[in-house]
Amino acid sequence: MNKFVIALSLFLVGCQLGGTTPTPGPQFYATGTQGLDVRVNTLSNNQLFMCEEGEVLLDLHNLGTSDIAQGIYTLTIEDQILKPVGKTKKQGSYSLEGRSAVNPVGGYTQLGFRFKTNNLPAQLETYQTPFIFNACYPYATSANIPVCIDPTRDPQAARSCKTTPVSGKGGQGAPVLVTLVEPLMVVQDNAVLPTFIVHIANAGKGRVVSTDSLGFACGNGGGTPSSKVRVMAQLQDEQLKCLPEMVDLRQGETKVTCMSNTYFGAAEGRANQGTFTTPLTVQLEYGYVTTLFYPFTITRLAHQEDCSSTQETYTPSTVSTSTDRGINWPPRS
Amino acid sequence: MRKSVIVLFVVLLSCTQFNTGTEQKQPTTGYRTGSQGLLITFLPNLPPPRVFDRDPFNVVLQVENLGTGRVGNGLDRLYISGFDHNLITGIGTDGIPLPLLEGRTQYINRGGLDTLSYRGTIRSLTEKRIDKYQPLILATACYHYETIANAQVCVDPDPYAPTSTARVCTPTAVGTGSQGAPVAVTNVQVDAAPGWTRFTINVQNVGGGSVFRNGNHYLAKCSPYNPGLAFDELDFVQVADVMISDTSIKSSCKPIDSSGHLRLQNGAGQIFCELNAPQGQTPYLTPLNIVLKYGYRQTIAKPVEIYPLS
Repeated sequence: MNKFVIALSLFLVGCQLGGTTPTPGPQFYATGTQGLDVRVNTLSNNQLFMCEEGEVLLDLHNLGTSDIAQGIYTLTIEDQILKPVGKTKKQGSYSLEGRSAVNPVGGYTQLGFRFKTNNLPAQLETYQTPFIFNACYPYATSANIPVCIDPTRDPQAARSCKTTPVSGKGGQGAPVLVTLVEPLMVVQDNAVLPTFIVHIANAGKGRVVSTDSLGFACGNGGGTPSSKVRVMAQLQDEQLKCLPEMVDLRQGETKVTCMSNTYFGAAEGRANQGTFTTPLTVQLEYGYVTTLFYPFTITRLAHQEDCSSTQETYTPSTVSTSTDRGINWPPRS
Repeated sequence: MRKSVIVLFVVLLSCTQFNTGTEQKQPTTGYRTGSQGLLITFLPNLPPPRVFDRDPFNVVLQVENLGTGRVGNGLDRLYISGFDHNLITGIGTDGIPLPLLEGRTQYINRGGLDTLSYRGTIRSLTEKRIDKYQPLILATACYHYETIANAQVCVDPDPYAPTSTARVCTPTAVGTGSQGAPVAVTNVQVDAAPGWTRFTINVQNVGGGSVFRNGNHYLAKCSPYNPGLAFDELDFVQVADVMISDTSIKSSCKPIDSSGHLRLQNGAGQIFCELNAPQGQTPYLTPLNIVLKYGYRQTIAKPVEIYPLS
């Protein structure tokens, strides 16, 4: 009896082991309207005394779905009031992975900036000076909007879907999003030529620039950065013709018309697929600028006249940005 | 004790076998009932409500003939549609021929039953950066069917004859219900006059699907991969014959077009037929036989969610 029970148990356990069912990946959905999120870490200190060293720690989090391969940042400060110390640079670069099924939270990094306050003009007891952080990065939106291709003209035929506008207002994991897609089935002969009116808007808190204007946007060289978004659309492996190809979002929501060259519902060929749902893939390419404003308040101590004679001299460093702070903390007096 | 129980069990079992006897099967009267033709159902989990890409996509449908007509003459077909053939490949657009399914008869109270399967493959969604694809899979059956309605009607050759003899019957409306088909003759009104009797035959689409003109050409247009049937092809039934006793009165029936079809409006229609110079002097009961032929389309749906497999 005992042997039978043991054999049965082994048999049941064996049945549960093995098998060829693959483990599915986590269900990841590209939603949201954020790209790079820049926040001031709570360890930062913007209330300084004259001649004191302070530090600003910024948390950079890529909350969108596009990878940031070559993002650049610039700092705008009053050089006569705040002097960078140590490895602190006013320009740098960073790279952050976007959210995906294998990385649902997105890439994260920290940037540290250390400063020393200079003398305040004699008549001032306190002074507020700006600290402006500009992050400029190329970004992309990949929207998969389910649309209905309906070449059927039979009024009584059951349909698997209806040709109605599809909203994308939940976002596609990027600050520039497709807000609405209006499908139009243009009837020609016995078939339809699908056309889509794609509505695009900037829902993020930053500014859209062209990808080739990112340098200008972060203060490199002269000129005014342009603000164009490249629009591409694909339907069933066919690249659609979109007009205009580049749109300017400075005036708000903009529409683009994307047309297919395939006659769906034709009697022969691959286009004869009846009424069906398929994803319209809209790819938007652009640059984005996220700006953080973090003013310093500098206070003169009572009877303080000027800083000590030994001042650190700012030397531009070629060390790239990393999360390693490489400084002495807390500062030695 | 155990042996006696076994013996008793065997005896009881034998008695049950002997008592079945050789009863003669009696024909079922009134088997022409019901309002369905073909019943289509998805087999459970085929396809499952949630599948992953790069998996096979299997769809199995059960088809059962619930009516009294015959289905499956080679041109009757079952299609599945509603999905992107670029994402789910391997499933053709020609459909699968419906197997021959006999209808119910007075001796066989259940129609033919069979299963049809489709096998496809889902392409990778990860490569296309698609998070989820949710098609609504439609199964559409397009087939020819036939309705045969029998009604006992009263024909009175001389309804105004001054006579005091008892009448066998009085011409009046006869309810016929449904006849085991998706298009039914719901009732027949009889209007008697000296020298002729008029029949108003009410026809209605009761099956829940779409009825269209009888003919192979229209059957092909029924496919979901076709632009579809036109407005002058939908809601038509062919009046194949109307017979009173052994006499066909189809030639007197109106309004029927040149191809013998009656148009339905809002799923219903009326045929007006006349019997001229009925025989005899006194009222009599006689069978009225109506045969309708038509094409029929039925669709069922099943939603499916397809996810990428990381």
